[in-house]
Amino acid sequence: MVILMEEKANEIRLPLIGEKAPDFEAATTQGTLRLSDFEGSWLVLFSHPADFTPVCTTEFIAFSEIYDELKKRNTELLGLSVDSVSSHIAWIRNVEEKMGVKIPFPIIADLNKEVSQKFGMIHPSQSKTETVRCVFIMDPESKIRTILYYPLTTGRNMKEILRIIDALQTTDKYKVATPANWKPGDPVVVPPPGTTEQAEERTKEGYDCKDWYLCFKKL
Amino acid sequence: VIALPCISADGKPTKSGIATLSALKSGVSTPKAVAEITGHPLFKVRSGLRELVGAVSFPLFLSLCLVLLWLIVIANVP
Repeated sequence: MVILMEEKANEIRLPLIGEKAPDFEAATTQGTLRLSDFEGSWLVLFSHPADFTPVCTTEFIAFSEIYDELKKRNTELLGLSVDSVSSHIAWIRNVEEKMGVKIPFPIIADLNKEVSQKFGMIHPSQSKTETVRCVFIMDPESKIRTILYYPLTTGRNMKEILRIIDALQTTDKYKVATPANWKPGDPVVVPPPGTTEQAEERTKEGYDCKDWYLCFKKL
Repeated sequence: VIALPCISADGKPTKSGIATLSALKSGVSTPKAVAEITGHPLFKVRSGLRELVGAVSFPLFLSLCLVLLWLIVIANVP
């Protein structure tokens, strides 16, 4: 009974979409940072299993390649793994030396797993010591807007991460939704009507309506 | 030893630390304004300023503690 209660107390709940992300203070390759330091910008917090591993190296190069695109979208990048700052520094210097790519964003050295546990980044069935490939996209108020999980063996898709940010920012700006496979420039979905009166009016508003509940418009 | 954003491990101010201090000297008062002047990301400026404030306030805190200790032990103030 006591053990069960202790387990319950130690249980850390994964933050969910729509919730404010738990704040933290962590050592990174760019000094000690808090999550609150990023308020005002969108943030992509992502974890990787370990430094000096092949898939992670390809991902870091790919994240660096979209860095300028993210900046255009007022978005910062923050990496994380259960490695030391020294290991991170050695790895990013190696990537620059061997692959010619400079890693411009900070990486958390989460040796005590404090941050990775807060964000549910360790999946013991995959690995008890390494973080899986997580992506948390947060808005300027540090509210979690998207959560993506990939297994250790599958590298992430940068175009999809950019697409999600574009979709979220479009949604916020125009109060619309984005359909499957949407990309910037495509028609967006008008939120469905909440009343029969709104449904009736919907047909007269000049949208491209397939039916009363599915209407598109161009931005 | 972890290098702080403003001060390197050997105690010397870093390039970004000097840029931040120069921006502060020019009269700007918000992290956002410092970020605009220095071209550094806002998160880095916030972190650097926090370290700077910590570096200034810790010796002040230590001095106060020593004065209190002196008052209690040496001067025998209740």
